[in-house]
Amino acid sequence: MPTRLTSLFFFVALCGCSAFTAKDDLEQLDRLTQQGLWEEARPVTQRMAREHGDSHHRVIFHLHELIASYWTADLKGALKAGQRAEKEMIDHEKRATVSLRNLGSKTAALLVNETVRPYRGSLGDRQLVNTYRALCFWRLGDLEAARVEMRRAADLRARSIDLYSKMIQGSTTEKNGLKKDHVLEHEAVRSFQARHYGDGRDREEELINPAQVFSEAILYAASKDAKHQHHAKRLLATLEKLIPEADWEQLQAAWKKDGSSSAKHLVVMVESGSAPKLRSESLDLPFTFNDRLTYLHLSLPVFDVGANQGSSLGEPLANRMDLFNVEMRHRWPSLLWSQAVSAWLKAAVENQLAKENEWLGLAASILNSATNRADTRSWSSLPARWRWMVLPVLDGQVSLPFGEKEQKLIVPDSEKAWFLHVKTNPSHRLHSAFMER
Amino acid sequence: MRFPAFLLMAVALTTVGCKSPTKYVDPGNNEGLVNVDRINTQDWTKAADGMIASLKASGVLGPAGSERKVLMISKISNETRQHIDTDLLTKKIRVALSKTGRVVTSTAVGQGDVEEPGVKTVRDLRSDDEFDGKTLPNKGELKAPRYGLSGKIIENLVRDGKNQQSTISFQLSLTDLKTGLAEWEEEVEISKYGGKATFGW
Repeated sequence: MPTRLTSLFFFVALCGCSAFTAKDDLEQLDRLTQQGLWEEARPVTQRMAREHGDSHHRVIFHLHELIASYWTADLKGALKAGQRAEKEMIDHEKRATVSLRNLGSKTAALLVNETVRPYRGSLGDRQLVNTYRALCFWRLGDLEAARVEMRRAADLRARSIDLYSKMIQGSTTEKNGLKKDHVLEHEAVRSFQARHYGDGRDREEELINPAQVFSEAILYAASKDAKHQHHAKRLLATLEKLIPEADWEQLQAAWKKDGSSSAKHLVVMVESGSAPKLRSESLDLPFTFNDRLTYLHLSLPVFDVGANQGSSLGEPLANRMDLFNVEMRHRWPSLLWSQAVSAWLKAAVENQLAKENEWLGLAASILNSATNRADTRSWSSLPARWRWMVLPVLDGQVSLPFGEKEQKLIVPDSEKAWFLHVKTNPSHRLHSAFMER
Repeated sequence: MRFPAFLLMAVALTTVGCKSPTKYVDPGNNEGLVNVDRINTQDWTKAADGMIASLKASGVLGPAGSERKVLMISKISNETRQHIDTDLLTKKIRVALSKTGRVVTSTAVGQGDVEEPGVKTVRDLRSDDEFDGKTLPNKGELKAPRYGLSGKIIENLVRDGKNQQSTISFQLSLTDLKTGLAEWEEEVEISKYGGKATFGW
């Protein structure tokens, strides 16, 4: 009896720990970023990163700070925030195969929910951290440092296949009659997956973020080194394969035949809209426990299609929702299995406590219901869409076709060739960054 | 139920008790921390020592007592996944060459930013009457470099499960700036292999 009461005590304590204390701050930040008020959002992200520096959610605050600092030209601040986020993510990855900290957080997650585990960011997030850091270095004129960051992003891109295959395999396939195959093949599970994450095409290229590849291609094309130029061409070939419907000839025309860039054309990468927000969606699976039919209550993260889907001008590159869904399809077996085991454990504890004391059983049931939610933490300051276009430079100016009236931007030096990175939002507030190609 | 708790505590105490005391290390003797995914001090030392030995043995610098050659440090490209300061390599080489008495490095010229911008700043003062003209350098006193030192640092990383092998290739060339010919070239490769611990905190 004392052992079970102790278990319950820890159970309750862990529930308390799981509260996401920064919810108000994040909502305020979302309001500001959705309106494109990055100047106001930056101090909020800085304060949040400072105040939650010891929290297990800290990576997410560094990610928000990186984006807000990037779009307000605080490039050193963005580099630092990105470095902190990357360091945390790498530290997690470098932990021992059997790490006490990981075991502790995994156990807590099984008993409560995934939000009690440190936010580690997805592999896609990590690639984007390096990509934004690369763009920061490029804006500062340090192309060599920018390429260092792009190499890291490219390395992660190549590794994602390997890492996701490990997630799919997992270690355990059966737990007290709960079979992995049974869970994965269940009709309700298949239908949930198809409804929320789409049908997987099982192509390795799906894990590639074309916006990351595009940024890398443009950066390498800006180098005079023949090897870098060759690398840029290979990346463009990858993009052609990934998005065959886009007009890539337009981009190639912006480069002269010898590979050097043309000052008459401006290559633009447009970020628009706000990344959709994650919400917790329930999935109930029938399961026989102690010869009694019961239900496993699973909670899984799905995207809410937001109102701000971004501009459809220009050629397509990437869509945050698609990227998330592809990642979910690859993570699906391991995520679903851990959720099922967690739900099974909770049901077992609830059942055991109910046998001993009806009130304890009821309390456990209430706690289970209260904590049964998916991990909805995500890098919400990212855009909904990435697109690209090539625009002519006329009289040292470029006209951007956003909003009711075209918006004009002065090119820093019309004799030189530039890459323009633009962020738009519904109120047509433009944030722009020129980088010399 | 008591056993795992005891075990966990024992592991935790062991981990705390295992912290190494701070001490001095000699990177030249391969002492100190080594990471697969970083270029450690030992690597810079090993690469520089290899380059210096090769350059001295090549005979390019001429016999002892011959006229000093002026060297310019050109671009050393970083083709790795790490932000590195290539001075960690070139400075060691410069110091060693300087000690031979056969090479002197010009800090007045270089690829990109020059190391000593004061050379130009002082000359810009020629038009300023506030300065005593006799204390200013005369025209034609700067020495043009005869050789340029350039190169690349390339990283090749291979992974196999939780283990990885990194090979850093340090490539340097010494070019005769009059003829454009690479009079000396060398490559030093350093490979490291390692992986994640099985158990740990």
